[in-house]
Amino acid sequence: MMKISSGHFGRCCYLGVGTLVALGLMAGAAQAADIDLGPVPAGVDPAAIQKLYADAIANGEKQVVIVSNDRRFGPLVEFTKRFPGITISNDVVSAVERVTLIISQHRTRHMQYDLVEGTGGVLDPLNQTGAFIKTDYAALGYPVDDVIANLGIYADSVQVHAYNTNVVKKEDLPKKLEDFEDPRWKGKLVADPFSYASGASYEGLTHDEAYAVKTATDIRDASGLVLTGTAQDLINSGEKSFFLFDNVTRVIQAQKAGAPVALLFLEGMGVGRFGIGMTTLSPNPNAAKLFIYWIHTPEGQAAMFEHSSAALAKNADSPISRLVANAHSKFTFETEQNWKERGRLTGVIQKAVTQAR
Amino acid sequence: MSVMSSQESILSGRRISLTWVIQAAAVLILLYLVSVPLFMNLVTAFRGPPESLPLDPGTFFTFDNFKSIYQFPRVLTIFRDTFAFALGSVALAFVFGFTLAFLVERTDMPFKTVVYVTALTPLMMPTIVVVLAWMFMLGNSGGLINVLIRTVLHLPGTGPFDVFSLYGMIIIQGASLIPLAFLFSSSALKGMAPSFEEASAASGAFFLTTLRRVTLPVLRPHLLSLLILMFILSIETFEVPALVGVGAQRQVFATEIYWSLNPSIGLPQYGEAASLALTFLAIAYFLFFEYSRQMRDAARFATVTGKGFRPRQIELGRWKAAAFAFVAVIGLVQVVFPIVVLLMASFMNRFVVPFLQPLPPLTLHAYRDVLTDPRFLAAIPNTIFVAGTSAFIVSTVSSAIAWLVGRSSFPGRKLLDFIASSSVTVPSVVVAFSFLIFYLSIVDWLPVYGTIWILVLVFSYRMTVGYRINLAAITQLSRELEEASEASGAAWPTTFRRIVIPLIMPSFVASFLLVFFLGFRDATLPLIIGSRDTPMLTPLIWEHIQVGELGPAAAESVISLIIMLIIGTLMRKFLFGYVK
Repeated sequence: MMKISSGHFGRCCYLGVGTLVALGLMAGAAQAADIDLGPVPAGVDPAAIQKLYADAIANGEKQVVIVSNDRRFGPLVEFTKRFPGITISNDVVSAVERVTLIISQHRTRHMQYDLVEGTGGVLDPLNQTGAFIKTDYAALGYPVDDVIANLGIYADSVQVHAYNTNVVKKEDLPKKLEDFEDPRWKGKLVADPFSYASGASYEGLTHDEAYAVKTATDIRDASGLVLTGTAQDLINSGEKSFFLFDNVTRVIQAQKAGAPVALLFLEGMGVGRFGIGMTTLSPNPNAAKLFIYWIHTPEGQAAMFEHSSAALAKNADSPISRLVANAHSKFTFETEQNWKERGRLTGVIQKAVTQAR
Repeated sequence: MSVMSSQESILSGRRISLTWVIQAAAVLILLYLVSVPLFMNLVTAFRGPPESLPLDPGTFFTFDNFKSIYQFPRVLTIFRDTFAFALGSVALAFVFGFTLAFLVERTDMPFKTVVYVTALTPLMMPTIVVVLAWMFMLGNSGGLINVLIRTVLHLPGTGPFDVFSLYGMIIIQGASLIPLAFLFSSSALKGMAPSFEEASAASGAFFLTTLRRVTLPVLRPHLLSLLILMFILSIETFEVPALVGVGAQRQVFATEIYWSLNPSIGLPQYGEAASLALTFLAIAYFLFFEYSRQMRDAARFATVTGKGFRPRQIELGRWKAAAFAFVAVIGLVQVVFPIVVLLMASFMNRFVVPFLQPLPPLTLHAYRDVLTDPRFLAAIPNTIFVAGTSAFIVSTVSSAIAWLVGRSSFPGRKLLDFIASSSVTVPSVVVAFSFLIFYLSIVDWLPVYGTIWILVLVFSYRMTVGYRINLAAITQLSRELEEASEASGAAWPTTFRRIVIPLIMPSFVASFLLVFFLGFRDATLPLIIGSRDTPMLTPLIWEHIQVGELGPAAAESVISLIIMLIIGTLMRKFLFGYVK
């Protein structure tokens, strides 16, 4: 049987104290390695964000993999500057395929994506099938009305009518939606089939379904409105004069590219909302939460607008929110309470306007 | 003595097992490549509720998808518009495609390579880009063709053409099918011995009489196959109805599928899309059944025999100018105008209607961005590899299957014919998801998901195109050649390799080129099946168009068009050189 001498005991004490000191130093060093978070929005615990970052690095989460409708997240290098060691990988898959892709990966437990981008209407099946995890958005700085269908809302789709300034004079601009039925616009209007129905659905929210369907079909019939997925190219090129129910982000991007297009706000416009949700089997969960936090901060919003002309129209100071404030029109926002009804109305109007004349 | 009887007489020893191994391998590959989407489509069409995926727990057998689609009187409108669109497109493509092929293969028209390139160039451009180009050519305000006509005839206002109309859809779809009609007709004319035409001419028949009473009837297996294939492709096609048909307010099958897959809320209605696809399948199989009935006495159409075979060239004489004018008009509309639109868009970052507004300054920004994008640079070799490998698989397997169906007494050949003819009827989106779920489910046993090999396997499902071309060619072959080979003691593999393959080589090459080009410009399959590590060209172009970046999309299209032209020319030189 081994006998413990006082000498042994003394050495053990020294060793214990030494270990404690070393641990303290390491903790101190870790504290010193905290990154600069910049201004942290009210309601967010900076220590929780630091912990997310530390956990992400410790777990080897070197990237956030996002699947979205376009490459809007790919260029956000500001995120990597703020959180060194974590990059963004952005895959592009259209809305139709995105949901089925994620459900298939979830079912077969081969998830490749951390975050999925889209609208509540499109992405809600991911909640129904358990492919999305319930996220505490409040802890990441999101106000209640910036959460729809378990998505953290990061940008808004503000509706607007766009017109080609080379072929339409400012003094001829319509004053209200019904003015587009004027014969002078016959053959000169174009719209995207989805955004046209989506735009008219807000008329259904503020009036009723019958009114919205009638307005949408009356304009179509009176003007010979063309519905096509290439509406933007037709308006930028001057082949058509007006793009009904375009969105502000797209028009700003076209203007940046030199297209002679301008914005026309009329009463009764709507604001659709884009969000991101986190997958249940996310391979990089801490990094994903960091991104959800960051994209809603003023820094994330500024970067988002800089690279893709998208930003929030409410709950944040952004060029888009200033544009909406100065539009002198009353906008109807998509909310947790109305998104399902809006989606239903969009389907009804879409069916009505795409039926054979 | 028939081929099979002679074959049966030597069904012994090593040679038989090799025959059976090759044939069994072809059948198994066909089943593997085509059955997955076909089976999934069948299951999906009869599964509900619509808010679930077909193999989800809690789904059940139902006819609801069919009830939802086939509502009167809407379904009558769908059938009316679909048939008008498909028949119009087929007629237009056939007239132009066959005439071009005839000029190249049967006349002394000069600059045949130029005609060949002119005929095939549209096949090398992404469909969405071609549709956009047509919008800028036939747009009723500033479309180039409209402006030209208005200027020449001093017409006021807009028009006279409107791309957003039924005839607009027919023109675009018909034009997109001209390369297929050209390739098919060209390979048929190459494989036709001219003795019948010479006999007709010697009897004093005029050229048109010979064409109507000799050439066209003799080519019936090829041409019927072509007409059926073009008809099915027209009712199944997605881009033209989605981009132009919705604007024209025409309801065709494809737009119905489009709406089923793009609901404003909830999951895509895959059940509805699959049930519509089953309708395609029924129509396709009815047409192929009718084709088989017409071809019952196939020996009558055998024009490639053991007797002398040399192509005859008709001297155009004073008709040369008219032939040139015909080719020039096609070249102008099919090649020059779309390329002008593409080049303008690529150098201006967008397309500007020249007569409506001032032109912006020219810039090389789009090319600089594209050529420094590592994804684009990686996408070029990836796309060539995937399109080339899958085209080789399809051409090889489909020619073996065509021989089994057309020549052997293989017991399951009717089923093989059905399966090989069916792949064209399944919409690309359903195909992509079938494979996605399949390969994700077996990823532990066959880890191809996320690699380039999954794209090769998925792209190879397009058996119908290769199969129908090769089957028609084998129907043209007289059995006497194979019988002679068998009588000389050659086994089936040797006969197939040394007699059948060289004789059907024009069709083999045509099917290879067609599948290669179709693969090169496909967007749907790589968008769903592809991954970050395996970028492909068309999805990149699609991504730009999606966000309105027409400049980079046009620059990428121009570069991919140049690559395709080089590859197409080299292939033609190499492969048709081999044929000669």
